[in-house]
Amino acid sequence: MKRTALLFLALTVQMVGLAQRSLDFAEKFLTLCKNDSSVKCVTVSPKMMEQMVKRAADGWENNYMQAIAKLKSMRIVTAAADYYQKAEDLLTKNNRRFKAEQDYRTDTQHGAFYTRKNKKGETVELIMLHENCNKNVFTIINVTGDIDEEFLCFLYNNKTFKN
Amino acid sequence: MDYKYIEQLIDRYFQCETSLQEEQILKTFFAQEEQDVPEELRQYMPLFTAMQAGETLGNDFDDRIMQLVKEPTVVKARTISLSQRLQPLMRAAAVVAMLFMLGTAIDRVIQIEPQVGDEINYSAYKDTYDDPTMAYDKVEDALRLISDGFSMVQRTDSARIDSLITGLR
Repeated sequence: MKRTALLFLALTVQMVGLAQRSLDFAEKFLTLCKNDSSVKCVTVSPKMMEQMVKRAADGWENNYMQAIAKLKSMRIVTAAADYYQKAEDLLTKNNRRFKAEQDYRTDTQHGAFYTRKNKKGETVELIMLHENCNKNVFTIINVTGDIDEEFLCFLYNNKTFKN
Repeated sequence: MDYKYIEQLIDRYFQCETSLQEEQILKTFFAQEEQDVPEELRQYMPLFTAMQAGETLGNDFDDRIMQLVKEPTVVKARTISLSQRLQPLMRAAAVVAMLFMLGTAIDRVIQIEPQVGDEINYSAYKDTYDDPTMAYDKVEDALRLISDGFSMVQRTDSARIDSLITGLR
């Protein structure tokens, strides 16, 4: 009885620990290269996003506020170009969580988009991998929030919402 | 009838001051019929009647006890094998291994499952910038890069962005 209780307790603790481990992709990626000080991450939290939206409401003019209003958070990770493959591998490994969308390639740069959906089928996370071959810089842009058609169209159609 | 003498004897009996003859007097007194004993002294009847009826220890009592005490106790030697000796350790190791395997299995299941609907722990986010203007500059640059990425996707294959949007619907 005592043993069963202990086992149950240990399992519960482990389950709780795992349940709390809900990371965005950038966070997952950063755990891979935590010992590399050249990897930089810029974090914009939901609080900061709210502050930006609030400022815009107070008359602060900017071009992207319509898109920012839909976002909860943003993370921008910059690293050496050789991290591109590592990031892609991590996304492939978690391919049931992150779905590969479109990719692109030019002579000087290439990249790919990945998304994550919630239970309702809404896209709640967008990840962009981008490598600038000339500058040997790899960038991850990880946004969370309401990544809907309107948001994508805004970025795609020269910063105007699709009507 | 005056029972003062008997009462005195009882008092002395309980103070362990009575002689064997006096105790015999008490036993004889309480051996009579119950109705002949005054009511206030009847409570002592079971004590003295029991003493009279009780079995006395025999002369050989001490010898028998001593014999029992001196009798050597037989201790059987038991051989404990190495595996028996290590059994508690092995049990503990089995429990640890089981927990580890379960934990790994759960971890793997969670990794494999799409984890749809899980909320990100935003409380762990630490802002790089305190100033919204500086944060905005970074966000704007990032959104511009995403926008450029979309354009490059279109250039790569104009039809593919439509499928991305359709996929997100």
